[in-house]
Amino acid sequence: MNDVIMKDLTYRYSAKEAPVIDDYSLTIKQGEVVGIVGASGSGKSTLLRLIAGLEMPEQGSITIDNRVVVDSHTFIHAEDRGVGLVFQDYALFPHLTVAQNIVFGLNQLKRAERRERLVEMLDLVQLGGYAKRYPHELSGGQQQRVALARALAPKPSILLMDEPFSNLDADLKAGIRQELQDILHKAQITCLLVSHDQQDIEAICSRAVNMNTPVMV
Amino acid sequence: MHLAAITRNFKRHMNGWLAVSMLGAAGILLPILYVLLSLFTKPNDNWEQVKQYLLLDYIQGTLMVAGMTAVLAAILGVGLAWLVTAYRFPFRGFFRWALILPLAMPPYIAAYTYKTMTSYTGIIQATLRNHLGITVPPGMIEVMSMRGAVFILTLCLFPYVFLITRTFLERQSSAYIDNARLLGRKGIGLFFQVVVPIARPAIIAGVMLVIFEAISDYGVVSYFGVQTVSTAIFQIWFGMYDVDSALRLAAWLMIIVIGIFLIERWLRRNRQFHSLTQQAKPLVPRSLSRWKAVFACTVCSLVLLLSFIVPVAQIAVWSVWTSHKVWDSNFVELTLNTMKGALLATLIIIIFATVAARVCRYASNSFSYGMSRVMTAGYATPGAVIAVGVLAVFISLDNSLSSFYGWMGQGEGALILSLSLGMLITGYVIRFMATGYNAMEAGYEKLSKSYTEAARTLGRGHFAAFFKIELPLIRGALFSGFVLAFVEIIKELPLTLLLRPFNFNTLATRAYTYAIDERIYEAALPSLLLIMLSLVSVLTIHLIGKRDTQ
Ligand SMILES: Nc1ncnc2c1ncn2[C@@H]1O[C@H](COP(=O)(O)OP(=O)(O)O)[C@@H](O)[C@H]1O
Ligand SMILES: [Mg+2]
Repeated sequence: MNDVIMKDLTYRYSAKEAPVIDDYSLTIKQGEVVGIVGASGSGKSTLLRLIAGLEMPEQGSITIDNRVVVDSHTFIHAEDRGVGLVFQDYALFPHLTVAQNIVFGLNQLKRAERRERLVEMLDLVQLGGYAKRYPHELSGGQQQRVALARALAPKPSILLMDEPFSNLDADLKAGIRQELQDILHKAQITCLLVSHDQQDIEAICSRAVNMNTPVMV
Repeated sequence: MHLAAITRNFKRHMNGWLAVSMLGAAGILLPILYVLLSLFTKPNDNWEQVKQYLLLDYIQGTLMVAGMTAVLAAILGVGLAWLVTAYRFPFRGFFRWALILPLAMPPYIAAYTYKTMTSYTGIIQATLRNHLGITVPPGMIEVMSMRGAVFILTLCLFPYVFLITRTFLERQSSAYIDNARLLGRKGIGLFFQVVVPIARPAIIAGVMLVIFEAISDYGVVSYFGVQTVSTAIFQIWFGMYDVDSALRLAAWLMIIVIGIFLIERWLRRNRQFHSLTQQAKPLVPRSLSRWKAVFACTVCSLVLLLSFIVPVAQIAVWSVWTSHKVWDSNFVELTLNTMKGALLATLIIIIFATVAARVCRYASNSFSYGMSRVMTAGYATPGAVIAVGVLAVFISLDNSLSSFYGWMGQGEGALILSLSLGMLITGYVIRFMATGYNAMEAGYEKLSKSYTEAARTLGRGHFAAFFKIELPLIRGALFSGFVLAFVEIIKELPLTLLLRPFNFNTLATRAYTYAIDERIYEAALPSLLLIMLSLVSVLTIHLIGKRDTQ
């Protein structure tokens, strides 16, 4: 089973403070789009960082596609995990074009394959005409789609999205929700997305969990 | 913790970047520790002599030069900074940046220029005598001695206080000062009761730089015959070849520096740079009445003339007189020599500084704090101290490699490393790592961490993240770090004099030795070149400041 399994995760930023994440467990089935809701500061971003390998839990384990990526004696670095992450601020490389951003993670592919995958991704996010633009020449919604295409290009086992709507204008939100849902559906990707807004989650996800109490809400 | 967990944690944090930055830190600490530890070894007879009869005088000399320079530079720097930020007068915008130009004047060059200009045959007395018929009583305007050294150091170093205080006042003070003005404070009262207290952290930071430079100075004090710990280290080294006693003197100098650090800590207790409002509005300068404006303009002009324009003009004239004599193949070789050493050292500095700044950016706070302290330790450490420490380390390296040399057919007891250019370069790297590191740290602080993290989650390692993403985005910092460190190295005198290989000269050492040999006019051309190169770095500092404001 190609699931993502988090078991008894505990994490704290400093030894003096209470854990940000305390004994947290969650299983995401392949192909599921799961949403995590929780108040600001409840540790949602931290959870994504743990899965991506940007932080290491104090306790607990994470298994992705039957491979243990972290437990008490294993730590697989972020670059070797095959996890896609869309940052809250998108983190598009400002000195690279849209196309260069998207192919950044495809250095293992041959040139022709890389090109093919780029076209595929641009198609998926409907930015065909924007390949040569720089990130600052795009709208917020377009930037988000580039970030999404970039994260999906290397075919990750799971896509993580941190507050995908926080940087967008409220009146654009409905349209973008729909778009995102379509893209995720077409890409058939396992996805964990995080938001402090219950409505966003309900609109897109097949299942929602609460950060503080990891049960169905 | 289980062994497996320890291995995991080690693997998680350990990588080439961390290893390189630890290596750099160790390289910086080693000579400094070597110097300090010498205090715990058994002294030789020579040292007993020095300690009994001379040490106190040396320490007194260092403290007097540094203390007087600090006070005068503080008065000049803070006063001028307040003048150009708070008031409007003719050429204010010009003086605002022009008053940092004296930073481009290496103090030892100013020293011999002023001494020659004020001598009996120099331009000042000659003009008074020949055109105005005034004969100056001997000793009246001569800048020889302690007074002269302090005068020169003040003129060359006050811009540190000026620059830092001015930046602080322009950016962070308007809320307090506008308030104080509303409450009826003005003029002198406003200055002493409000401006000085709120700018205290900035003033202290500037004065600390002045003090470190003054303690480290060798060129000016030795030229003026003032005895300090720095000059004593030279005498014991070159006069008696007594490395042990030189180490001990260096340790005493280090103790002075550490003492000053502790005093600074105490002065700044509970106070840090901070502004109440995030977006502080700039201080709006006020108009001055006509005579006051003329006065302000005159004061600024006078300081600029004395500290920069007059000596540079004099050196330029001398250079023209002697250009045919000095401008020969020798001079080209000299310039190439200087460049070679400085470029190599700068390159090493930038590599270590970049790696360490990168590691600190992603490491825990306490680790970053410790690492950046070590990386910047060289700046507060006087050149002579670093030189003695590096020499001692290299000599003991040579000793421990002695049998290896014998095997290589070089003869046992040969001094290979300690006679090589490598020793000088090591000294430069340690002393000026701080300059490079500060630039790279500032560059990394402006770079969002998520770029690197994004690169890594896309399956690319640290290497690709660095070369493809970070490097293009921090190239401004890289450039300024390179220029600043390079120019500092080119200007450096005491370290170069102590660590250079036999017969190796740089522009700085040549200018200095010409001056010592009373071949003043010949010293002019290398000096002029040094000033021009330094101007490039001062310009860089100015541009960085301007960019940060926008
Ligand atoms: N780098 C960090 N260092 C220390 N504390 C942090 C850091 N990042 C986040 N925190 C703290 O951890 C808690 C959880 O943060 P985060 O995971 O960003 O929450 P959320 O994404 O749910 O808003 C917050 O209280 C935050 O202040
Ligand atoms: Mg968050």
